[in-house]
Amino acid sequence: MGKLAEYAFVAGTLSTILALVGYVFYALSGVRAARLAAAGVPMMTGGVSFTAGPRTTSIGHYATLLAWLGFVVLLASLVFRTIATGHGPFSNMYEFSIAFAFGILGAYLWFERTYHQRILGLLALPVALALLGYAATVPASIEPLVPALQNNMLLTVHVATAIVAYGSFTVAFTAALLYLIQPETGRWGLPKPEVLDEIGYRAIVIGFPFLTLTVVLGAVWAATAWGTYWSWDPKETASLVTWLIYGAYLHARVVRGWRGRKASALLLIGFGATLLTYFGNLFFGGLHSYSGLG
Amino acid sequence: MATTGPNDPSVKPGQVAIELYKADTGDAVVQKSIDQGTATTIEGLSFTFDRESKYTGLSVASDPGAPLVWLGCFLLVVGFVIRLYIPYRRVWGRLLARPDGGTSLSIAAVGRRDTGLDAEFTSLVTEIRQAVTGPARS
Repeated sequence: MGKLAEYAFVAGTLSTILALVGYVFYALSGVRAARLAAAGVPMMTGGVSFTAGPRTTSIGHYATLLAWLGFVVLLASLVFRTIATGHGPFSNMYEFSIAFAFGILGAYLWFERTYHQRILGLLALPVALALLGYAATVPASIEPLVPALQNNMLLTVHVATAIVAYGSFTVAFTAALLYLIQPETGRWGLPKPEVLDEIGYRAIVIGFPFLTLTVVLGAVWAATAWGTYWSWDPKETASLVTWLIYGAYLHARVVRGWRGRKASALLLIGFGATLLTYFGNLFFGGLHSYSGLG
Repeated sequence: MATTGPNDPSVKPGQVAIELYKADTGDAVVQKSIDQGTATTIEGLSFTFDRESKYTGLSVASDPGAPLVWLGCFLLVVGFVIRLYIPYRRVWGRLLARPDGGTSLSIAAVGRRDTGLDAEFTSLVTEIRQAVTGPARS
């Protein structure tokens, strides 16, 4: 089963790479269409709503299928790994990175189904691939769990909620980045700013309660495993900072009416904090040092 | 007596391994296993392995306020779900008799800067328009 998990990991990574290639061609076809439209050449529209420039839908369709394939195969990899290890596939950086990439794919595909903005895949998939590439460089060996981690239910739920939150934050990050890089005029056929703003907000609305759950369940677990629910461990502190940034985003947006560039900037900062939370224990040590790299 | 912890074949039962490092550079100078109870001189320093001492590390904590924290966490999560997934909505409708004998319906809504309101409001108006039979048009 361990071998099967590794094969599925490789297959899922390849599928995601192919999907990314598809998204690149899809985006290029959009640029070409936008240029032709600007030159006054009539074009068949691709039936993609919200977008300014018509694109070749069939390429995008294959890209989406490949992304789904990658998602399903990575899920299979995680399931095989769970069977091989006997616990949730979240106990070291190898397992957690694959799960994180899986979460990004899942969150991205969820938003693609709702908002049909395939351009976001162009940014979200490289993040997932970076994590898969990172997973390929860290030890994949199955080690016995340290005593503090021997809590199958909390290991699974605590990290699963983190995966959902981080995946959503990645989608919010891609929407915010796209919002910030597009010029005021001439949008190269990119999604409308309002749609990007909306996607960023929706992603946080999903991710934020899940991050809250992650922190709370982490505190529950810490209380049973370490005796205190909060000990200012680097990972705890980093996740609190992340939580505060996204909390500030929600507050600024809902109460103060922040939109567009300012809100997008907050989302970028939030994603930076998310990555720091994810990789922080590699630099700062602390009680969450289960990376399998020590 | 046997060694505890990971077994190292170079350290036999009843022995202890001595490793010497230079303090300034951190380079290893010498590595040697010595027997229990025998004074040994290494690099001009004298070492004697008397006995192994055992210890247990305990951390003790008391959190009398913990239940309050859990209650707070619970309310926090429930509050977020209510706030983020059940948007604030208020819709007013006003029926006005028109001079031509018909009736006109005006609808207004407040959504506190809620992005989902536009779509919901539009579909509400469409629904009402479809539900109302007869010549009434606004």
